[in-house]
Amino acid sequence: MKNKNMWPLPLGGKWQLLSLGTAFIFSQSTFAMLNRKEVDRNGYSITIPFLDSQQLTITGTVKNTKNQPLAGVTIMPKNGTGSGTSTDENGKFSLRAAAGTTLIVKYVGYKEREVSVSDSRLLSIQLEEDVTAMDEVVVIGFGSQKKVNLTGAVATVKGDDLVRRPVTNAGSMLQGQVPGLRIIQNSGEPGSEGLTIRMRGQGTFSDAGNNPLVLVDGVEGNLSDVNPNDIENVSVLKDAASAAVYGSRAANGVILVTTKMGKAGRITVDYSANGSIHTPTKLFDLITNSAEYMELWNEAKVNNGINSGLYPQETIDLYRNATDRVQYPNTDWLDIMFNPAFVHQHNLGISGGSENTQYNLSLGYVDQPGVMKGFDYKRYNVRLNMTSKVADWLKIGANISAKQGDTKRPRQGAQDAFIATLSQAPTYAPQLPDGRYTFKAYDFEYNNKNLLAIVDNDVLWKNRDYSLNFQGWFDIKLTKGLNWYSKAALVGDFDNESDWRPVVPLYNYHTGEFATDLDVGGKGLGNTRRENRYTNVFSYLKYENIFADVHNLEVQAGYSQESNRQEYLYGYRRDYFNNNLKEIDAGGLAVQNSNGSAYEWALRSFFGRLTYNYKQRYLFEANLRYDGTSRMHPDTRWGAFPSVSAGWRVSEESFLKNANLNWLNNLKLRASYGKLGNQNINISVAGNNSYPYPYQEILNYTGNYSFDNTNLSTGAAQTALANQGLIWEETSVADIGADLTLFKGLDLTFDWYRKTTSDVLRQSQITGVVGLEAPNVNSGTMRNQGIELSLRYSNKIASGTFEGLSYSIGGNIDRFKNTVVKLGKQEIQEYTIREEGRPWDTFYMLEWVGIFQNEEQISNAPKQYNDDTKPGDLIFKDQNGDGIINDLDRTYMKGQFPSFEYALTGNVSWKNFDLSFMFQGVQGRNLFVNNWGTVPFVQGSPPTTEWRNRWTEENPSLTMPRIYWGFDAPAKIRRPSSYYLQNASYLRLKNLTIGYTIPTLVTNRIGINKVRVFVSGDNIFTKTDYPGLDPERSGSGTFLGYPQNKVYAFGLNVQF
Amino acid sequence: MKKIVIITVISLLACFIQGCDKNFLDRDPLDKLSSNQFWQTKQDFDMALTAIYGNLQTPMFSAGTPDWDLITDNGYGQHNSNGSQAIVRGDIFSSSDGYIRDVYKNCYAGIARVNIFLSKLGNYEGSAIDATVKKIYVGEASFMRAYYYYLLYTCYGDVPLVKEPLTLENQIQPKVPATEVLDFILNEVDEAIANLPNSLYKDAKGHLVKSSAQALKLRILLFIAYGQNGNVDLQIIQQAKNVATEIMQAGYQLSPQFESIFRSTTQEGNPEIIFSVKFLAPDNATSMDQWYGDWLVASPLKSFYDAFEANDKRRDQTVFVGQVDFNGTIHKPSNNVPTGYGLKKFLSPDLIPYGYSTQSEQDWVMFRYAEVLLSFAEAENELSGPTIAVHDAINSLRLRSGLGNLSKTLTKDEMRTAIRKERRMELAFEGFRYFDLKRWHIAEEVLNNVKDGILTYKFEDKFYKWPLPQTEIDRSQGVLIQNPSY
Repeated sequence: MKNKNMWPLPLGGKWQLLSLGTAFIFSQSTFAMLNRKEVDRNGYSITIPFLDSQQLTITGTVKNTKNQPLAGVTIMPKNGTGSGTSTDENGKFSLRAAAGTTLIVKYVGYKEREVSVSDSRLLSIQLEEDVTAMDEVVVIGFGSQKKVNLTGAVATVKGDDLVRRPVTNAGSMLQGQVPGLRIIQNSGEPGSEGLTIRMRGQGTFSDAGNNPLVLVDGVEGNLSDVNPNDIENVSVLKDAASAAVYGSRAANGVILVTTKMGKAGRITVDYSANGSIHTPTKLFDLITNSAEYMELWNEAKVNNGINSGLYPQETIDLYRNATDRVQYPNTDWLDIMFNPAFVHQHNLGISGGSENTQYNLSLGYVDQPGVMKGFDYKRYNVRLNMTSKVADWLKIGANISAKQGDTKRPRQGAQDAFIATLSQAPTYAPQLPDGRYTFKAYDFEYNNKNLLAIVDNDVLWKNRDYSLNFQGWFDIKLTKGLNWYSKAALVGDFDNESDWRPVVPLYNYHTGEFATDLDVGGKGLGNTRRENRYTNVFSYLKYENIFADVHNLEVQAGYSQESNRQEYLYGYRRDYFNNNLKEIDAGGLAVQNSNGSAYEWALRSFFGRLTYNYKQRYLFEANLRYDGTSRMHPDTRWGAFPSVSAGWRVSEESFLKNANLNWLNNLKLRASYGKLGNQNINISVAGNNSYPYPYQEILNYTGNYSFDNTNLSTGAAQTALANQGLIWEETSVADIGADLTLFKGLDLTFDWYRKTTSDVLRQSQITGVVGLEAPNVNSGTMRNQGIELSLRYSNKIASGTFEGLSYSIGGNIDRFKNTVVKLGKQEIQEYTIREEGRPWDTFYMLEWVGIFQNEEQISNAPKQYNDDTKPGDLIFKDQNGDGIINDLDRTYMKGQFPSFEYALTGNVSWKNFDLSFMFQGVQGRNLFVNNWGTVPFVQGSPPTTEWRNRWTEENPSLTMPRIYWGFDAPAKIRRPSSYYLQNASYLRLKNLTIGYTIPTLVTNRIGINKVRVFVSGDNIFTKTDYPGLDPERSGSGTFLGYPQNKVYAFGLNVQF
Repeated sequence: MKKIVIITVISLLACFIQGCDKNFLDRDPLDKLSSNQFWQTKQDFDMALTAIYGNLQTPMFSAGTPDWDLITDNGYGQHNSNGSQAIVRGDIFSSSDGYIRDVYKNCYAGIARVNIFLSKLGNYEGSAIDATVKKIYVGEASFMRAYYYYLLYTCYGDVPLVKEPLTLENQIQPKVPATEVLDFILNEVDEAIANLPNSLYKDAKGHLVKSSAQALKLRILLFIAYGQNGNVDLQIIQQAKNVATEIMQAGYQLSPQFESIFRSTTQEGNPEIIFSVKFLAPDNATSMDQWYGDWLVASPLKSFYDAFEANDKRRDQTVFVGQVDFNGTIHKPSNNVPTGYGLKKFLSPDLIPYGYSTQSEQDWVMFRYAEVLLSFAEAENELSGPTIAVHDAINSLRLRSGLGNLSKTLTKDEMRTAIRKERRMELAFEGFRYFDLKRWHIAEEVLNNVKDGILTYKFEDKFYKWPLPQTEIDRSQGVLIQNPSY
């Protein structure tokens, strides 16, 4: 923890315009230039009568580049005569010195400055953070390291770069920031964005999972629980060498989140807020004219061969010619259910401290209603970080945080809510004029539940979750170079769910007669209390020393243990007599139920690290982790995970230094290899798929039966085969990389890696004759091989019209190839295949090659299944050339994994203005999407307007087939084929922010250090061929998902 | 100071890590039993047996059985339950899902439960289970194995014959010839008949009795009595007649009211039921009323509706037109009624309106006396032509349905037609039709001539035996051989 207090980053500056990358490019001289201007403008410059060799009293203040006063800054005359002083907590100082003396101003973590006192007595001195490439420190596992000395693949992101986006989830903010870290936000659902985070491809096909380990201040946590404004920085450990100290849980990479700590000096109070308008990025364009809907309905049904349940012509005419649009509406259900939402967030931070004790207190609030009715999220965050040096040899600290999230959504979730909305005909409105909720206009119509009735009647799943995280630590200096660090953490997650299902009658839209009760999936009230308690204790010794000035050695050894217990309790009563009393006790006793259980797991680990470098030129590191898990049999539960890495800082070699290459500032080559483990496997027992006892032979209470029709007898049976021989799944990663700085402004990082996971923990491919669920086994190998490149160029214009304009532009790109190396037998799903030698879940389906135009073409073409093929139907390709089209003609299709992903970022600041943008893109990705939104009239859903161009005899379309009707559409149109495979590549302007800092001349007068206002837009522009909805979603399946948000925000940052 | 603090902390940590927490990594389930703690007491075996009965609640074997008629000329399944639409259209592949895949899977799951039970029972050395109890256990377990293997046999023909619990090591099993499977089935059912108590089902508190096993044997014999071309094997049909006669002497009677067989309030003690799968609301209920009364999972075809004779009371007891109507108690289905007809036979009048909160508890009647009478008549007619006994058996059903006696002048062939029709009407949507079409070998003739199906029917000769599921072939390392023509 040696750098905890030396962390060379500015505090609290969420408005900071410049990224880490740009910050250290700013040269001292340019700041001096700025300073001079500011001094001029603020009128600080006072001309002192020149009196040679006369002692002057010089007073002044020292501030950082954000105008925050710095306490404890040393000020010394350069010539060594006279005594120095240091600044008080307001950054003020006063000393006597001879005129013409040059003062040296020094402060840890800042660049030293020399100030001549010849012309100024009241000095305003600004210090620039000393963030040179040489000294930049990166948080790594159980410690930190100078960036230049890193031998592993580690990427960092500053908190200030994250909070630029006016979104609410810290995980979403990481999108596009780090090459190789791919984040897909599945939807814009408030509080439930459904993030998929994958480091360097899909590492395994085990249920043990692909999620990277997220550590918040060294303890496992959750990105969505963290207030993004609390994040100081994020380190992403990508290869085995850097992640190896977390061996047991690091196979999918590690994301280290470090939260902000106060700095010695004056109290800083930061307040920031933004309000934004959210709208869906994209929605279907549906046929909402009732008459047109009815005509298409009839056409589609007749095409299906169904001649019943058609709209009579009189009805169609009634709607077409109606003047009373209440009785004969053209209802646009999407318009009713989707509305712009006003979202606002507020953050208050108070930080500061003395030389020995620093603190940071922050409060956060997010109020995020959904763009879809019935969705709402509120989040409250509190955090207090404290650290104190209580003795020369002892430092202690605590990080305490709490989060409360209040989530509401229709009880069956976002996809179901969208399906229900889409599955409504325009022929009726959700309510009768008297407010009663409607079912249908005509009995033969099809639909799903009336979602407005769901929302208005509070048929919502409501959850209040608390996440509490307590961490306490000490750091004892045992002797010179030897420290002992320990931390204990207690993390509690508590869920408080309620599921309310009242009886809501629905009525026929035209007759007003009772039709049916609203589908609320049963009735009554179910309440669930869930808690997860996680404890983690770790402790390590660390020794560092430099021998003979050239041998830098660091040795570290430690122990960690984790345990987790999850519990739940569920209570239910069926009959409620008053819809306003929604607690269990208000329900009748006739039918009631309860469930509850608890599950535990534990891990115990030993770890060690040895770091050595010679003259910071030849770098070497080795790690070892030894882990035991409760998930495996005592005989096989321990696994060892070693790694080694090495680096060569070529630019430190004398032959290069002597060559005086001005353009080459830094060149490092590095390579690493190591192994990581994964044990996070559960078995599925009686519908619970997170039962953490994967090796045990378990008897389940199942198969209850009422022999006498009065009492229910309890049954017991073994439902899964056990395998006690489970061992750790192992991931080995080889990484070769280079870090390069050219022309003092161009940074380049490149990595090549090969990541191989073997002994994959998975369900065995057992035969059905066993009659039990498959046991977990170690079988299978998956490989991801890829490259990552990131570039950043920063510069500042020194003269001319745009003098002082600084900018940086950066980009990153990554690509990888996923291969299933060993699987066993191929597994074919509905539209994917798992097969050795191919990417996991490769698309596998019929190839759609056109539309039949006439009978002759059909009779000349291969027979397609047992279909009654007609003109307007899809033509499939006869892949095997056997003259018939059947399942054997399914073929492999690309696009399960994108070809590459990329991002482009830029920052510009000039005078008081700042601007930043981020483009993010995915190339070569396909999604298989079907049902609602693709097949017309599925559950009555209106066709999209594209269907106006469907194949008919009058309109022999080459791209759109004949229209068929809903779930009853014949197999010939519904069979998985590339007709449903959509190109989901996109390029998107993720964010554009423009800010303006009100001149300090103005703000200082009212006692405010700094005020910045900004406007920001998120997801404002997207280029894609993907039809209908947003291409950014986690995977294939039913077309519908809660939409992504387009956000326009206005915000404010104030610092007192 | 420094030393004191350090020593204190170290000793605390050491205690925490070592002494206090030696078994830190030993975590066992907190709400489930470990297998080696079980199989000790009679209660353990009773619970295991309960789970064996409980397995029959799998929809395919009980409350979802009406879906079997969706792959016949009786009805249409608009939700494609169990892959019925593809089967009707003749899109039957080894990769098919629905019945093609799930009959195999579900039957072997049932068999595994029985195999484990019998294996543990065989190894049991305690004194908690005496010979009488053990005998009944064996009888009940054997019935179950016979039932599951009978389904496998009728659907796939040759299948692996698993009689012991399998492990990862011996999980790959070859299929054995259908005749060997059949021998085992008959053996098991005889074992069941020999071991089960000789009482009426209504007196057996929900457990299997001897006549339940005899009814299963009768069903099996009748299935195998017809050869490849639908020709009768007189020897087998004679055996069938004998079993039927034995059951007819046991004391069962037709329930005076047809519908009372299917209503939860009148099932307990019903003299017609020979075995049923029991349900009990609210915690062990089904959604039958919602499925068939509100969602229209099964839609009888018009040709089926029209096949009832004019005065047949069963028509309106089996089928509703447009909406469910029990003497004015009406439920309007919330789903579409694609054929105009719905399945009323199994609905509960007292649970209207049907919806998501409807908890159905009518037992699924697996064997009833009417089937025995029909089977007897069929066997007797094949053996001796339309004797009085044949007429009596059929007429007793017709009487209950408000129909007159069959003409006494019917020839043997006419009687066969009459019996088959009677069987279709009486046992409609009880899961018989598909297997009757198969055993009589008239599936092509009947199914390919359905004119009012919403789907286009196609039945090929090879469908008499379904393909084995492709995943099973894939995982068997070449040991399991696919059925011909797939």
